[in-house]
Amino acid sequence: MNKTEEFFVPRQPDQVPDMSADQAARFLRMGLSGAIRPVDELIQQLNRPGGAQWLEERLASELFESLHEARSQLLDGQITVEQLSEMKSKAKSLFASEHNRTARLEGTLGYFLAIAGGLAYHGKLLSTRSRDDLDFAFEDLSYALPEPWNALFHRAIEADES
Amino acid sequence: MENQENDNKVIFESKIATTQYTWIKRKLDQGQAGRKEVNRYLMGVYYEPLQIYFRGCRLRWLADRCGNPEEIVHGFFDSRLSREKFFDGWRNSNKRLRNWVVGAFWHYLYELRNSLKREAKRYVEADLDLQPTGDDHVHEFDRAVAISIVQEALRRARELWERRGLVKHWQILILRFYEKLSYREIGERLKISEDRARKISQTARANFANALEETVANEVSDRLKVKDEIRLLLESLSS
Repeated sequence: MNKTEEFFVPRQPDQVPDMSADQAARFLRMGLSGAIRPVDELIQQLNRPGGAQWLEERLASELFESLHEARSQLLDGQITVEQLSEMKSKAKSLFASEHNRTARLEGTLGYFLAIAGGLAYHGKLLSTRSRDDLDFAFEDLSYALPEPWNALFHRAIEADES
Repeated sequence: MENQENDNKVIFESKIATTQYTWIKRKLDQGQAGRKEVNRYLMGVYYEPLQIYFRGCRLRWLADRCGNPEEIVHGFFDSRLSREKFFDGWRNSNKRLRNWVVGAFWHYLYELRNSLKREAKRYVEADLDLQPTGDDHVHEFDRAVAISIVQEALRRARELWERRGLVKHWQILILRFYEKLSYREIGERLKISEDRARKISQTARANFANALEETVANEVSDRLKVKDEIRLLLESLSS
């Protein structure tokens, strides 16, 4: 018997599946976003009692003030790519610059609403993040959001990029 | 069950120290038993990637004389892992583990080549003209290591969940992120509610992220570079 044979255990295929580069990348990205993603914090907030009310209050905040009527524009699709891009940039700045929890969550909300709107209404991916990663976050968010907001995220998941 | 899930959320957190001292280094300090675990890790992660590297490098002709790629890699492990001070060079090198391993493997291949040179000079000289298949074998090696590291992290997470009786965490992680099923489909498959599938998925994802961080920490000399290393591994998978 070779010296290493007593502890030589090649991977058992039935325990851990073979995987493609794309599948491995999906798992690796989980390590980049950390154990708790910003979107997980937002989901926790939305799942709390009063989560729907909290959402409506955020839509009346400064972040969304450049929109004529944030709620209807985001839900009806009467929003341009430029408006969504601006909203995304402001949301990212808010997330990065503010240390209080509400502002950070508001930044996260604005970011995902803008990206979802870009895909759902214009077929534009307004983010450098992978589509795969975003789709998982959209689906997680859609479970936490009340009607009719969850429909926006379902539409984004199904949207093709133009 | 809820308590079990809450406990599970901190399973990996306690294992991740803020120190730069990685699992491998701690194990090496534990003597023979620890070395055995490190050897298992190294063979688990590098067994297939080194075969891929060998198939593309210019010394691949050694397969005709010394055995197939599996046997060559097995021979490498057999030769090097039994050396008590094999890892000392890496511990002092600040190199990524995979760079250091492939360097050691290359030295081993040269030793094989030199031993054949003495024994059968005429064959070796003819074969020395063999060119590498290109840089692809280096890239393919990196790519295979990235996949192998993900699989090692999955194995760690699975073992932990099995020990805790949380097999659903494993099933849901794979169904959700490997097979890309929706929570509704997972719920139907496992006969649980969608909401429960989603909650377990979040915990499983967090557990896996920590297992991955711990696994990748083995590959770098500095724990603080783990995120950078994950980015590099992702890059190697991107083309």
